[in-house]
Amino acid sequence: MRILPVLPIVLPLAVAAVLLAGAKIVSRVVVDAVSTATAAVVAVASAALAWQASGGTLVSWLSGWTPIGGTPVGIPLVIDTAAGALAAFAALLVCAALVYSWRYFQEVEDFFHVLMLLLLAAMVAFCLAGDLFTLFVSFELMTVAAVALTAYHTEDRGPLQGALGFGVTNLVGSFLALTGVALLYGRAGTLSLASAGAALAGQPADGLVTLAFVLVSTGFLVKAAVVPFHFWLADAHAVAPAPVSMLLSGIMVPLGLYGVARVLWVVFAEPLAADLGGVLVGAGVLTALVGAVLCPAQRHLKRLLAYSTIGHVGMLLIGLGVRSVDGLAGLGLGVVAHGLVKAALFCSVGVLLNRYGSVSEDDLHGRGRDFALLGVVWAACGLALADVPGSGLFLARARIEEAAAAAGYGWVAGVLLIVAVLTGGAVLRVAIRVFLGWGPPDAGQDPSEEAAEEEDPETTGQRRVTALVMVAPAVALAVAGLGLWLVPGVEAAAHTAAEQLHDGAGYTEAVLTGSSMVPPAVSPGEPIALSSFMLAGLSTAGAIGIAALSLCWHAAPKGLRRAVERPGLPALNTLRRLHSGHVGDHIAWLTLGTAMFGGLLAAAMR
Amino acid sequence: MMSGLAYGVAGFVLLTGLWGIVTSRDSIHLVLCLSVAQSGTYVLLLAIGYREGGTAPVFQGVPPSAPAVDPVAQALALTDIVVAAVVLALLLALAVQAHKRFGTRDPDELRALRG
Amino acid sequence: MSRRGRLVVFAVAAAGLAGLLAWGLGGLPPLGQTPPYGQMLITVATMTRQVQNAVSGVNFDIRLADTILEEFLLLTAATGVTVLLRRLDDERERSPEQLAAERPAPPPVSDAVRVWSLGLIGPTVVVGLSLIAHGHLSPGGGFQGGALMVTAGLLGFLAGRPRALPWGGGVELTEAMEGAAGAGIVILGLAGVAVGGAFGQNVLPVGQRGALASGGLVPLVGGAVGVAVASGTALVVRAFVAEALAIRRARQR
Repeated sequence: MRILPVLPIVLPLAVAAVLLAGAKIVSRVVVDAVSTATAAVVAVASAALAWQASGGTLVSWLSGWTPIGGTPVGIPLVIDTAAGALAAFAALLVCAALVYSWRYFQEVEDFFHVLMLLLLAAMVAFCLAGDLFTLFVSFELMTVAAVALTAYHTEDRGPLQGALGFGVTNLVGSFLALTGVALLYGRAGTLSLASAGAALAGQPADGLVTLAFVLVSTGFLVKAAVVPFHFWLADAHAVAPAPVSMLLSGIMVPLGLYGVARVLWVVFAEPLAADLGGVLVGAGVLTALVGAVLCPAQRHLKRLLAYSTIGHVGMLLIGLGVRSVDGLAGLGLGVVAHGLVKAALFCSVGVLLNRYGSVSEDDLHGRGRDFALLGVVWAACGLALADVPGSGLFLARARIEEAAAAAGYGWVAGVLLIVAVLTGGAVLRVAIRVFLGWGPPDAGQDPSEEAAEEEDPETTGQRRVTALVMVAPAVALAVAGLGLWLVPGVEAAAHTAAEQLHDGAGYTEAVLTGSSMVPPAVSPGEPIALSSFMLAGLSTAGAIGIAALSLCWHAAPKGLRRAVERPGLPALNTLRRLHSGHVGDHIAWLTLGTAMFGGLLAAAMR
Repeated sequence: MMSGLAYGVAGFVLLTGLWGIVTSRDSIHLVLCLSVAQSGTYVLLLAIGYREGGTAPVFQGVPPSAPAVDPVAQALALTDIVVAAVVLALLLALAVQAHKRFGTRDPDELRALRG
Repeated sequence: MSRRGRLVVFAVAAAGLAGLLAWGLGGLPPLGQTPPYGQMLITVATMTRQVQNAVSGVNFDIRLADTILEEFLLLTAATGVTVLLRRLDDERERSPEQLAAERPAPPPVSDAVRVWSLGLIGPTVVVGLSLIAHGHLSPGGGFQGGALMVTAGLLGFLAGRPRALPWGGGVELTEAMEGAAGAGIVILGLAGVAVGGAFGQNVLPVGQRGALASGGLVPLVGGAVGVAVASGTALVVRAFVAEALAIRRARQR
């Protein structure tokens, strides 16, 4: 079908436009049904494209402008397995978020569904675009739609500040990316990814190429919330409505990593790939540690989950930085597994807020005793974040560890262990305190506490009886995230996607010459090493241990407490103070991060 | 020399915009500094598209074979400028609502989110 | 961070970034050498598509996908502004009678301003429409013309009539036009698929360069974009004006 490649982008755009025009005259039920159906159709269409692309990258030239004499004229959509699969996953999460919203927002005329569909279209366009400027525009559209959705509850102060920081930081990132695109245009004389790659290949990496890569990647890494570009994420998550947070952490943030991967392997592969490794892995380690350390320190549930996202993004970035096919396969598995689990958790937080009126862990202490199902979901997700053997995240982490060890970075296994233990432990601690009522009711002062208690329930009226449609997505997503390993062919699919993502030359050839590629050889999945099982068992036990420890910390001997808190607390508080929520701070760190990224890369090239 | 000046101005405008954002005491001023930073990228794009002795790429009364500057840079810049105006309006709306709710426009005073 | 700390961090960072920029920008071709892609598109636009304004040809035909995404970006931002500045539960929107009875009354608009503003509305709209219609022939096009049309509404505001925005302040109608224009652009793109081609393919006869009916779909796409830009920007202006003038927090009982 000629229209299939364009459909996942055009359909949500068209439906959003129609909903905008007719929102006032159409009933809420119809709007819900139409938008959910649209998301479902996009998911199915993208999955079909991904499946088709496993036999060879698909290229669709828009506006009918095929290359003239081998030089691209128009804009292509280039769909390989990774692109199609990510687009399908984005649509799946949007569908789940929209189902959750059936009982959520009461005012139809406030365009919630329009904005969600526009966000979906932007994410799909970002995945499928084969042109640098199209990447930039869809990136900006993602940001704008997400900012509008984050600030949805304009009656509260927090969303305004969080959305402003989100918008300014991400837009600065996109300007930097546009500067990089302009530089590439000046050097390569083309805006198409494939021709830019062909033009840069075989030439030494000089200042312009390095700067272009640094600027373009910085833009995408801001979206991916990599340290030191990450400050916006916790603030945005803390204030966004639950269905929006599901999408932010579930798919929008990892798409930044996809953007870096795509640009790296198609455009910059030859000049840069060899020198790049340590820098990205280092950034990944730093991100993972910052996220992991700050996660248990939060009492505001949404901020806690936000820092856990940052921790896992660090893990995924390590998988990217290793630059091997196996690392990329781990990255793909991790994006899906983490997205499912995180979306389930945010969905549950929304249910908690709706039912009990708070997102503060201390405030909710023991109140969840009558809601066993949700408690099970929380505990299961906590174990999943701790990479309990058998979950999707366990599979992803095992693959990333193997790839890192093969590339000489075996020590990152320790970092990944810390991430799993601290983030999983934090979520387990919440599950125990809220749903079982164990542990001390008040764990001490926390600046985010006041904001957490101020938050109004996101639904109106008599919502004490939680609707099934709000809980069902959480359960379904958690089950999917945990059971990912059991799905047949998921590892092979991840491997195919990784092969195609890694094969920049093949991408270029498919786009410029139109020849269908020989499908990459799919290596049979090697069994997971025993050491990975052991590490995963260790992290699961460690997470449970951390949760238990935080419950009875107040009963621990004073000498032990002082020994840990004397050095630990000031350091932690300094780190927390840096996260001030002030936009000027964010941009200062962003600029510093860009400069350091460029400096490190330049030094690595000498 | 001229190249250095043109590209240097682009970089200077970008950095000035960023400096304005970092030191801003007023959210509306902050959003406008964002607009300034974005202008730097347009300057760069248009400078890259410049052609020595070229006319505008509109061939009204001019044969199409005449040397003209790059229409792609112009096309990208013009759509982006119009759209950026509305995007910045979105951020200004946030600043206006924040002013109403917080009673201040100073980013230092926006203290709802910390840690 | 303290203000001092922030400045120090940024000073260091900016110095580094400036150095990077100098290093990278130095690798650009000297000023005056234009990339070959643009020159090729001039030939394509003027010869194959018979469009005089190569910029419009690029925007509305060859790189139509980017323009569609940009247009929807504008639609998203306009929708976002409407959402963010809406009347909230603890606020009330005042009617024009209440506005008129406000004390102290705003200073009256001078006659000169009123006459000129009202007088210029007509020519502005006509020039805006002309820019949109001739987008493929002379400098101009949907984006520029649409932005100009909103100026007409702002002139009405200047003349002392805050509610006299385009289409009489009918927000629903403006939103409907915005949505319809967005859908219209997509439908124009689908026209290519309907005849068996690719999405966004130019399917109308291209005619002779310089004639009003040339360029195939380009003038039509330009028109749809013009309507979309005008209504989107009008929504934004109207939202800001209404928020500033008409919405007040309900008095606490």
